[in-house]
Amino acid sequence: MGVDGETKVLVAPLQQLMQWARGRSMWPLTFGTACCAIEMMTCGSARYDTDRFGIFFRNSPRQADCMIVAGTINLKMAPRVKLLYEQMAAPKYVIAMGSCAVGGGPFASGYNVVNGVDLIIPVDVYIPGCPPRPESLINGLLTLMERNRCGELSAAERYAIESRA
Amino acid sequence: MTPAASGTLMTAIEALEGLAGVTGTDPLGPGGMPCGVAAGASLVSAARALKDERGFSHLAMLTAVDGVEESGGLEMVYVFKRREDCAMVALRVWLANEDLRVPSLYTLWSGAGPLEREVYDLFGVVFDGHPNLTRIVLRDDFVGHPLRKSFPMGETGVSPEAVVIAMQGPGTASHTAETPGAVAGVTMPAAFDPFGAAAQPGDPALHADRLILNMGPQHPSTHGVLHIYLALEGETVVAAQPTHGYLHRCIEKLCEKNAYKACTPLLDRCDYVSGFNTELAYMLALEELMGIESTPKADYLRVVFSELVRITSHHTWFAAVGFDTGALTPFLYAFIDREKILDFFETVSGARMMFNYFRPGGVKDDIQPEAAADMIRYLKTFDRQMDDCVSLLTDNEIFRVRMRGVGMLTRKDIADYGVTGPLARASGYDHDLRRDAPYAAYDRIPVNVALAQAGDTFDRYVVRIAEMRESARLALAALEGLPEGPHITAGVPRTIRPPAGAAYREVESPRGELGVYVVSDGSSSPWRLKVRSPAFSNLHVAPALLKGCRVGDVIPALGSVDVVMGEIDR
Repeated sequence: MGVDGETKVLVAPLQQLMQWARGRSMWPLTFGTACCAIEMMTCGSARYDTDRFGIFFRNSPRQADCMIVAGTINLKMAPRVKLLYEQMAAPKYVIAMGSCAVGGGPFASGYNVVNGVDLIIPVDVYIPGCPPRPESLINGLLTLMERNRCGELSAAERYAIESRA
Repeated sequence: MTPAASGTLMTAIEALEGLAGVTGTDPLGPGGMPCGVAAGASLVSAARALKDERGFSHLAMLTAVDGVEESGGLEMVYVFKRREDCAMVALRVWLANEDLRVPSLYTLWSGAGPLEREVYDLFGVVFDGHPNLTRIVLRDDFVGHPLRKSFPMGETGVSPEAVVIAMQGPGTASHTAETPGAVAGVTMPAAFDPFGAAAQPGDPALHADRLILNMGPQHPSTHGVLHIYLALEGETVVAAQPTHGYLHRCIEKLCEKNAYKACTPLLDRCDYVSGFNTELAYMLALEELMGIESTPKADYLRVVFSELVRITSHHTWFAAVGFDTGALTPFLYAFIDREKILDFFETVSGARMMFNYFRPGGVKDDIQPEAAADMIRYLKTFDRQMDDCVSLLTDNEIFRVRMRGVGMLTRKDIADYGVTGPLARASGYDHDLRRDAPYAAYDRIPVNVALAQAGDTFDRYVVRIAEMRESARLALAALEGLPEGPHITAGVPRTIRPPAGAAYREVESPRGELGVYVVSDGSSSPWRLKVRSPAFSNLHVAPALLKGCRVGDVIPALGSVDVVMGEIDR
């Protein structure tokens, strides 16, 4: 009810409303494997303070919008990564943070290392660096939020459409 | 070599004399320590004599080296240490390719168990008498033993097809794995049967309150990808077994392909919260192999950065210990200070975490006077900032109640599992390599070792806080006493080819005694590079640490171990 007793209703397509909301609050899953996880933690600290962008780390995949794969994924970890991804509710996004998650990094020729997390799960944003600076990760998250505001499809949705075609 | 050090060497040589089944000193052993060659059958009796009669109560390192000699086969290398004078002796056992068996030392040291599992996993050596000889870092379905020289190692690593197969669920593997390096679908990890046969489903003896809880590998409070099985009776932990390997990145094998200097970045990523310490151990080992010395200025700079990185490592732990007990603010406070120190690292080395700064014979770049002045200014205010941080926790009633009397470790556990570092010092184990076997410039900068007696989680907290203050004092003393002169020894070649031989050097890392064992065959890349991980031994004390804990206390107790999975799995 409005102040003067009139009912005020905001009419907008649901899609736009969702884009507006998702574009302003991106909750990543606290999921760190290796060195990059330390820089990911740093993002939440006082100097970088991701909370000001609406980026707030969640401990459960059920509550998270995106997954930051921060570190090397090896053959033992890979099934767990996929399981975590599957536990997240759609729409869901994946950020490959650091050279290892992008393509194996300095360990690419190892006998136990998955050369890029995109071999397991669809990736939306790739952040190079070993490890990337916290500013890079924030830039990656903001890119993801910007795409959301523009209504772009997630990598998972794109793959789903492509595989139907 | 100082007179004291040569005296230690003499008594160590005497200790090896007259051991049954051990022949003479071996020139191919790790440099700087006497090394005996034992036959497999007499290994246990020789180790027992060293442990019980000659005071070498600490099994410092256990590893294998593949085929140094033409005849093939591999050698087991054991390094034993006497705590009193830091004397070390090595034993080597030759194993022929046809018969890769050696008796287990598990009966003498519980801590030998996981180390032997690692050697079994990576080399395929079978340890007779081992209670649980299963893979520890690689998947149970991995084919082959990757640190053998015969293991094929391509340039491209794991193929996408192999990853697809690795992702398949149990029982769906369409692939009979024969090729080395292949994995045939997901299997359950090594058996963990704390309740024995009584735990069979439907068994009337099965107590209703019994439960096996899987913690990790994704858990916000396991400090990395650690997976631990907890066997519970109601709320009480009756048995615990850590499982790791979720971050095994083939560092030791990759080092065998890299040039000596190209190994340093990989070692930075090994213990990623205190890279300088691993670098330093590697440089000390390399310098010993090459027969060079670093300059006095480099010695001091190495102390400065080893201590500063110890502070940042403990900052990370301090943040986590707050999280573990439900406090968010310590993280925010600690990371403000951590960032300031990372800025110094960036000024000097160009990187926040992966420094690649130490070089054989010195350090990469000299420190600028302005940077040194900035550091001195910061370190003088360190105690005050530390007071702010600890005021959040030390006198907090809830925190004290959560930490006091939780996760007790006795001095017997410490010796049995080979625990080192703050974890051992909190149980009254008065041992610190910086004071007892000084390296770099620690012989010129005296170290006060923080010590506590209770051996509980709170005392580990107290020891680490005292260490941070001491580290700031040491770094300040090193900066203020920084000698003039070059920062690196002149004439170190670009491509390093140390003469054939081996060297083992240890440093005191934030987690304990971190050793690097380098074997050279005279070529431009190491024949074998092994990191003695303190966090590995500290983590495997978990069965003793967690037994009797309540479920809610598992997190603070494990957090007080301060594990870094990168260093444990390598």
